[in-house]
Amino acid sequence: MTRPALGRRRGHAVRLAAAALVLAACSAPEGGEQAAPAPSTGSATLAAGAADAAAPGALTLPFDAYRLTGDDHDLLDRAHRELLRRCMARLGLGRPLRTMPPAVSGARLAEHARRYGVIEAAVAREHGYHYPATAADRAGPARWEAWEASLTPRERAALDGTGGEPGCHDRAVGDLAAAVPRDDLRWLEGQNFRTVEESAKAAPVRRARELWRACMSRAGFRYPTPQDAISDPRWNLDAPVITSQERATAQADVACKRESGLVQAWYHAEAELQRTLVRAEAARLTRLLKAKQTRLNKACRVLTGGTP
Amino acid sequence: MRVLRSAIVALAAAGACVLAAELPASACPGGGCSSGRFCLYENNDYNQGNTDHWLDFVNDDFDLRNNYWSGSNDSIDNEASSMRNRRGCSVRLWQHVGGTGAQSTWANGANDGFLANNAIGDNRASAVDVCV
Repeated sequence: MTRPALGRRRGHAVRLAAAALVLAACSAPEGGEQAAPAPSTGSATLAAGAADAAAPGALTLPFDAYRLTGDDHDLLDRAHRELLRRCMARLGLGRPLRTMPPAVSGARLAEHARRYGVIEAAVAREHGYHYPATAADRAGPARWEAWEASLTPRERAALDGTGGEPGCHDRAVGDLAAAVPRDDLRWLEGQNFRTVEESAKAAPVRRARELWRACMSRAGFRYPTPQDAISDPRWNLDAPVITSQERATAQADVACKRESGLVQAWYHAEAELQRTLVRAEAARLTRLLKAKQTRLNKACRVLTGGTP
Repeated sequence: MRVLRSAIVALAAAGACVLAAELPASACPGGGCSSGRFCLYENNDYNQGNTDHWLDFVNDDFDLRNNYWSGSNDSIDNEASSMRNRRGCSVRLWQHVGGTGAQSTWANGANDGFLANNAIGDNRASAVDVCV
């Protein structure tokens, strides 16, 4: 299988860029002086050309500023691993971290590349409805299973904890945590799911979805919604085999999304919902932004040899 | 199917988290989660006080409809209530099969005992992407 086409950043380049971002993330201020972005500037942009669903990397939503990006997660994962290394070394158990497989093995899609379903013609042509995978994606699990099997009982207990006693994993999580009410995080993630669902009910989106259904029907595919098409039980999305039927359906799906303007309508409806929430929840979002920066700053300190 | 299910049912029944390198690697029942795994639990608080239904992953799984809680015939699709991530990387749960819709990502080491209170546990987890 070749590498996926559009909307996917190249894995190794991303890792290198993420390393460079350590310094950038560390340079951001920590503390209350950093305000949440003004609601009016909460980004919701769709670059020219993206409206036809051909450039998912250009899709950004107002909530993006407050949620962790893929690069942020890379940073936190690397800091977590460094804290694991220190914790295990203190216990005289350095071997597991020396042999642990790479933290991130695959490539990554653009943040919203599949939020509104499969939207790229090249991806549909190559992968159908399957999630694009790389050779690294497929090789990673075997390496992890081999590593896991190599752990001694003592090493496993030190990592995972025993009898209610925290292990090095839990200690590292605690060290990188930020003082943010968990309710705020849950609210943000909940709203992130709610806005994509609620916006699907907006009149322009319903109209576009009806156009999509008619378009698909003309092409010989009878599905009420795009979700019904990708959920067709004939596709085995966990198997490496992608049938010609699946590919044909996915390509028609993408073409009909483009013809109907479904992605554009949905995206604009959702962006408006999120903008409204950003304006209404400024205090909560300020807390979330501050906590996000605190976590990233802690990770940066760890990765530059310091303590969280 | 790429999901790894419990291979030590007898140990699960005993409620024991036996640590033996020669046994097949598997997440421990009883709310544990071994290094190298991403673990989902059917109930809040890692199944404490409830039926010990769990499932662990080392691999992606983009259609949870055909996966079942360990030792049961219950599909895990849209049923997860708590999670632990010991996979060694960030793990993403998707709203819909095929890895589409909204998603939530958990960093390595993350625990959430009450997914039902947030987005992904509210009948919404249908696909798992490890090492995003």
